[in-house]
Amino acid sequence: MRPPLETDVVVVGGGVTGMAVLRDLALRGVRAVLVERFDLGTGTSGRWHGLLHSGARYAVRDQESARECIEENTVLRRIAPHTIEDIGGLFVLLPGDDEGYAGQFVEGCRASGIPTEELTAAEARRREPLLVPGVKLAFAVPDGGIDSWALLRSMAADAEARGCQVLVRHPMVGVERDGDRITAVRVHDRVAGEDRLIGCQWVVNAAGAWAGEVGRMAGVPIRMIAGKGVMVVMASRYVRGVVNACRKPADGDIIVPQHEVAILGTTSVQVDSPDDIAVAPADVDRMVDMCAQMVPSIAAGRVLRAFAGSRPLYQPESADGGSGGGDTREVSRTFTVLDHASRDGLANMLSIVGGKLTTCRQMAEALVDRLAERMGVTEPCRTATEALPGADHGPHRLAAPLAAVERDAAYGELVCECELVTRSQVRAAVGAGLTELEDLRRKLRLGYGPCQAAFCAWRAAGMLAEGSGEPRRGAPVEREGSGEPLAGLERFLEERWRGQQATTWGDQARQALLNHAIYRGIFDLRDAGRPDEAAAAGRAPTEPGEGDPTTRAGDELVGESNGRTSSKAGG
Amino acid sequence: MLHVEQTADRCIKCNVCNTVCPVSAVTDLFPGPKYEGPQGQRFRAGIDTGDSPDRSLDYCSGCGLCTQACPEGVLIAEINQVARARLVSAKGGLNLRDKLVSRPSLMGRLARPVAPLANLAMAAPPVRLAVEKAIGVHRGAAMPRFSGITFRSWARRHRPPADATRTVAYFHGCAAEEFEPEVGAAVVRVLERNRVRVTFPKQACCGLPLVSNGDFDDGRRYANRLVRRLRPAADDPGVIVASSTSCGMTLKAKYRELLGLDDDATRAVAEAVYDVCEYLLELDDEDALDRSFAPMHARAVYHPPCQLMAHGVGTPALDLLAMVPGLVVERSRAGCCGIAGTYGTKVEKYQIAMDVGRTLFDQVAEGRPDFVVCDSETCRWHIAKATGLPVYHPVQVLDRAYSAS
Amino acid sequence: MRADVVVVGAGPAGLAAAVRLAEAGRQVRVIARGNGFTHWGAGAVDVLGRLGGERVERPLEAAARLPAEHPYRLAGEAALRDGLDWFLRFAAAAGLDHAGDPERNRDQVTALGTLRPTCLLPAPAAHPVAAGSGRVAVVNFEGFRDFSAALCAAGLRSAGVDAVAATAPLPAWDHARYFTAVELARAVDDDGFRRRLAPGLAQAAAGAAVAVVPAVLGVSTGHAAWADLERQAGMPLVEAATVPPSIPGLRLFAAYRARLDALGVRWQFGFPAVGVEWDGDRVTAVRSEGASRVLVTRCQEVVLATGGVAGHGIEANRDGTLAEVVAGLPVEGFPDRTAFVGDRFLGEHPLGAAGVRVDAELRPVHASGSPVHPNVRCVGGLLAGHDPTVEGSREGVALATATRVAELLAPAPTPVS
Repeated sequence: MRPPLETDVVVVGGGVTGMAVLRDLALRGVRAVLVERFDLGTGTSGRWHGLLHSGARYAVRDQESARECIEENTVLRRIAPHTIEDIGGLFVLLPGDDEGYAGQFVEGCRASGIPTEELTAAEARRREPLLVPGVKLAFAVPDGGIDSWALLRSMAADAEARGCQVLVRHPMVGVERDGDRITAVRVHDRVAGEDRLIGCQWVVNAAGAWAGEVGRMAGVPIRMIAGKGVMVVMASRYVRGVVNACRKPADGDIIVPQHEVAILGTTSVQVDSPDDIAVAPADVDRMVDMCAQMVPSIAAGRVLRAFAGSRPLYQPESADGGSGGGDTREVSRTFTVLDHASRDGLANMLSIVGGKLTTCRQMAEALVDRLAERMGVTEPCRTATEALPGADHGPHRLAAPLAAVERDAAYGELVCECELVTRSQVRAAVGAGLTELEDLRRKLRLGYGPCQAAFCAWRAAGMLAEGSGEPRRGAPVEREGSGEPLAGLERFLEERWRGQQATTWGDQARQALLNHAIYRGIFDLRDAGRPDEAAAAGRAPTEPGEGDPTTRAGDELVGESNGRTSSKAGG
Repeated sequence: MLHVEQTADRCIKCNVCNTVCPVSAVTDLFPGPKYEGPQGQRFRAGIDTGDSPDRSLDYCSGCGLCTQACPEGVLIAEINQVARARLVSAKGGLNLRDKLVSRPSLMGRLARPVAPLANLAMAAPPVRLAVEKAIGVHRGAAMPRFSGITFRSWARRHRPPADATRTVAYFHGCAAEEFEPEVGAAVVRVLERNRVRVTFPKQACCGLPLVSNGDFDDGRRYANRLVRRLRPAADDPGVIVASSTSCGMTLKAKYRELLGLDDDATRAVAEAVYDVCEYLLELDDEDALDRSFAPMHARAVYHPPCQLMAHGVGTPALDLLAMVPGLVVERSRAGCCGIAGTYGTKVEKYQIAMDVGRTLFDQVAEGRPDFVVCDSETCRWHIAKATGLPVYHPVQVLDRAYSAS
Repeated sequence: MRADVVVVGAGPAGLAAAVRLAEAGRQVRVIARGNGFTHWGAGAVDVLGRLGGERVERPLEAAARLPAEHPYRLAGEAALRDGLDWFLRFAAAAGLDHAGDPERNRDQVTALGTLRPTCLLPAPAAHPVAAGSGRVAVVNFEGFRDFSAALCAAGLRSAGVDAVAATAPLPAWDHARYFTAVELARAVDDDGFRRRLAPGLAQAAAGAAVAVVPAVLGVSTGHAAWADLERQAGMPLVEAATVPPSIPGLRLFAAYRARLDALGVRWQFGFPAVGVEWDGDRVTAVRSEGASRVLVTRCQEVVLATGGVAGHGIEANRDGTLAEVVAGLPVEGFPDRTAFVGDRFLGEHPLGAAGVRVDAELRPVHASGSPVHPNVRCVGGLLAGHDPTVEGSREGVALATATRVAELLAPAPTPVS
């Protein structure tokens, strides 16, 4: 094992909360290391609908949340405009909806400080031409769309520039304690295939829906409820801004446009584990049918895929945990900072649980304020005023990628044609250390389009095989190591497939069969049983000590991806 | 309009469209139908004010071969046309050249009083050079000859025979009216030979050049005017025959698809329109076509215009020409002759149009037919100029074969 | 419109059926919504590549042992043999020589460096590439983004082939800014371009016994461009199969189109057939979409070559039901759509095998086994009882069933005026 790292604070969890904490610490001059089991944004931060909340969804029943949202909405627009689509949102009143609710809605928004504008049916339909003709009226609110991976990357870049470290593919596997203090966090380096110790003074548990697992490793009880939500991705955008139903929050009442697609959401069901990401066809049908009430052409539209994520709902010890499978909407969404010193006798760990993505910065501020006080750090929080790297690009505009390709006449450069991802973008990402096609997709949107990576996966695999440069002209080039060059490609294709099983019919069925005819028919690839990371997580033990300690979820993936052998079972 | 854009959803990225695009085949200024159409469309959704991202889109000729080849029903060329309209709107409308070339009836009306002079001028290299410099119509582009008389003036003087068993209305279009009244006359004679009485409802330009160039607002005005005028004929006689395949296609489908006109009148007119060869072949299906053609010992190349293929009736002219004894007809190997309406007349696209047409021109040069046959007028002028051969509408060939019998 | 036989579909089965029917003396009209698997295949003739995931060595022998409802059994071995034989002659006459022996499968190099099992290969793909072939240079053309020499070579190496990656420069040309396989293949058709290309190709492959290249060696001159380039490069050139559009498939499609034109087959392309009319149980017309009206084509016989779910001949609905799109023929659906596809992308997907059940005369049948219409036949991927992707049989089934249908419909036609 390599010599231990030393730092002041270890932050566990590479979602937006953990990264916001890391950035906040960095801006206050604190040394910190963030550890994440997979890639940034593979937990709830990567499995949601992308809504930059105006807070209006909470205006009627949870005005504290609503107020937090609108405040942070404004902050994020200031510090991270480049991660945001400034598209606005509508709350639409449909025939059969309770008009009284509309009144409460307006009042609740006013009380929470959320600006609203009432639109007539005609105005609403001018703004959203595909809105159902029977819409009665609508309220415009400052909803937006936010790209969580872009936000994560920005925050990480900021923190790293100030001396912090981000370690992806380093799941926490244990701690070393000395009395009532944690002295080190033990992590497993998946790429190197060995454990590492990170000596630290403080630990922040920002593992979101997995906070309970981290708590278990640290010896403190944290009861988390995984509130699973299913989301459906339509192949095209349908709407210009967010469209919500103006009624009590329920399943299938929101359509969030994200870049070139629309995400229909969502459900809310308690499940046993946040790694349960399975989607049932009935959920898909429900989303489509419900959202089609607002935008009818969705009913016959092309569904691309569906996915699920778990809300990180904290259940305080004293409350009734509720029965499994129940509707989890009633649990409060405001966040909680747990100081384990007073709560559990563990002197140097804090946990941050609950909350929503829009308020991640605020959550981090609350936690880091508490931590800074304990550490004796006096630097105030500056995260609300310091712009993130990239902010000067301004808000993301839908047409921007097309405009860029047109401006540079870069059609010949395209790797992912659906998402207009260019060779130089892929080369830059590979040069920055990305080696997995799945990571490329999070960073570049590679494989997000209608063909679900059929045509770009193998182009990108080719670029990875060639490294970051082109083979030399004219002369044969030797490439070392045969390894299994197609393993990463096969894994990526399976990962893309995982989201399509409940959504394959019509156009998408034709796409799937064409894709199959290409990879199985032309290329003669057959199923080698390799799981992608998330699927592996769904099957892997999540408690330390269970199973063979030398086998960790996803090891065999990494071992193959760079040609080295990992510490597999028996080795 | 919305429906056309929504067909982008059906794309499975299979690249079939890219294999048939005649423009991307000859120039790398145009990245192909998949890129411009369903792929680009996903980035255009919701853009309705300025800031169109498109540039390469301008090179799409609108030939529609992509839409035909697509097995999934993506209306690719139509998506491009809608995007072009946005591009034009973002630029504040058409430039002077495109405004002019989009109004053939206007140009015809202006030139008619001085037709012989106008024709002389348009054939004179110094004049063409000046026109090219001034407004951007390429000096080498084929120009039709302005006719000194209109087709309608011929029709007014024409005495129909008395033995008709059916009646059709004739949508002659600007081509016959302003430039080729002889084609219109041939249509009338061929129909009358088959005991069809031909009426000439008041009509006007269908607006296709405006629509193709991206001016949907004026296009709609033209469309509504024409539909108003043809509406009665859609009920009685219930058949409207068109001899310009592109104008016929416009009435059949483009008002609905591109301009979003889906009212009863537009639909009624659309359903009543027949391409003249389509109509004649349907007569033959009912055994009502006079097949007494005189032999014509000649060799011809028949080029089906891309807009004819967009009617979805195949190539009825081939079946009709096959009835003329002695006439040997070879089908063009080209999908598009290159002119694509007004596209190939423009200085920045002329060479593309000539390169696209090369397959056909080479086939003609090799095969040395006596003449070429093509249903669409702008194609005829372009092919005639490039090959030096006479180019006829199929009904002109039938008319000749009838009149000699 | 009137026709004698209407063939619906212009994929491998529809094209072969149309040509063979016309050669047999029927008057044929092809109605197709667009292109299909000629453009999406590997550019080879697959007869039977895999059974139960295992490679098949002797496809005709294995075909004889397939279940009775498999299209090969229904069409009969003679039809398959005759179909393959006919294809070899047809292709050769069109300048597209193929190598291979129907009795034995062979390997085809793919752009991922895998060796897929197939039966007949066009000459540009036919030179053997195997462990023990000697050094293989995998050469990409500079700037061609749809081929990775490194990936292909790595794949070949893991199959034991001594493969190295290289790049050959492209001469200056008018598509330097942007080109795909199609533009490059057209450029290679030009002998001046080839003359300037060959030296760089030869140099890139220097020292190798054979060069594997992407399948871009000409598209409108048959195999002539490939043959000429091979001569100039001084070594065998092998085209690797790659993602659509298939350039070898385009060559074949052009050959089919030319033959159809020469036979006077009428071609109505770009609009789908949407229904049929019937009188009693006999179909009397095919209805197809037109620009503003449905077009009715009266006919004596209908051959549906619409290709199953992948070809858009069968619609897979949200609720698990399937519908045959032209004549509403019976198709077995699924209890719900989770049964459409498997858990693993590279596994198997039941939708790929969904199809119309037919009798020994290729007529679609009711559950009772009696034909739905006496004058409707089905060929190719539309047929139930096989998954052309999984078992590697698409072109073979197309040819066998096209041959059988031409046999069945060959007797003198009812006079059509």
